[in-house]
Amino acid sequence: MTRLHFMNVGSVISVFAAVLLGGSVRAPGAEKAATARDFSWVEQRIAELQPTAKEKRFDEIGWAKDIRSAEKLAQENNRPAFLFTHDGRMNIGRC
Amino acid sequence: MRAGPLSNSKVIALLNRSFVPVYAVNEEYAPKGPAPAEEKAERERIFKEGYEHHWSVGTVHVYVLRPDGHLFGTLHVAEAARGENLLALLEQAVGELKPASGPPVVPPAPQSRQPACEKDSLTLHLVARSLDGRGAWSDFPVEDWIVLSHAETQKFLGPERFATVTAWDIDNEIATKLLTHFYPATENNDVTKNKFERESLRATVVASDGGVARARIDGGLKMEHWFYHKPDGKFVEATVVGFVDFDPARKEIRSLRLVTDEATYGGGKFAIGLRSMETE
Repeated sequence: MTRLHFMNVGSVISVFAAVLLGGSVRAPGAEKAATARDFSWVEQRIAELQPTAKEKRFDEIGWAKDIRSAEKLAQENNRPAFLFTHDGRMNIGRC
Repeated sequence: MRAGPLSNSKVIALLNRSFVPVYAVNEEYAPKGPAPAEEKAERERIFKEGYEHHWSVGTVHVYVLRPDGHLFGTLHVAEAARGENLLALLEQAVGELKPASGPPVVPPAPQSRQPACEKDSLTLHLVARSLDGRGAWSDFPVEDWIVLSHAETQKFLGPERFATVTAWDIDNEIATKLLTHFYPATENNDVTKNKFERESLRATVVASDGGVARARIDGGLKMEHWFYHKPDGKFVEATVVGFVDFDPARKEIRSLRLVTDEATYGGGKFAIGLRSMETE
């Protein structure tokens, strides 16, 4: 209920605010486009931008926390270790 | 690698079933990096062993270690990322070493994690996604974690008193801290190299209810951001819209949302979505 109240009042007030703050006059089409960018649009837009499971398949791999931990676990479990060294931060994609 | 072999079902299954996978961030293993000295020494030992074998060695590279820690094989990233090369090396290791197979030794978990921070700080999660698939780094969206300290949230909420239609420009230092991450996937991720030609975030209170106020945020930026680590004349240009819900009496941010409406970089279109997270 609170959110609906925010949205309804907010969209009305934002128009008045724009006028009071000396916002520039827009063409009718532009006005419509601008006012459409309300809270629910922002929320939906953020949700749409989130990485999908398909884009985070990297997370399906059971990564050890560091090289020495991987080597210790490899020895204890009689498995080879797979090490990938890289620049940047692969975990967030900034690499 | 992440969008290629490390998203391949066969590779994922093989790594989980028969290996102990680990990745190491070079910056952390640099002389002044935060990795422990023993970790740095161990990475150097692996490199040295590779050189002794006259195998391919490099900082952006794949290494397969035997269960006793000695090298089994190496693969340059350009080779590893191409076709079935990585799968072939992994299968060769399994064939020769005959490891114990089973469930992953380390349970898989999200690798992009909310950073630990002070209880009264504000943690923000940002996603940058290409909208047109242009550019070599547009295979998947990239993320950032940004933490605003309590003092920075106070600066964000500038005015002493709030009423409907109260408007204020968000402190330039805080706006910069947020907007400097508004760029798509690029090889250069050193935000200290970013240069703003213009930036603005202006908040206007649009509603108040039950002790919580909501302000709409409008703004934009033009920021020089190099794709690689040298000047290339590329700029981010974007318009930004969002909302902040806050307790005006206590000057506490309850939630913050920012998105780009229109955003371009180097001729391509992208979008940013930023939202505050619950403190863990």
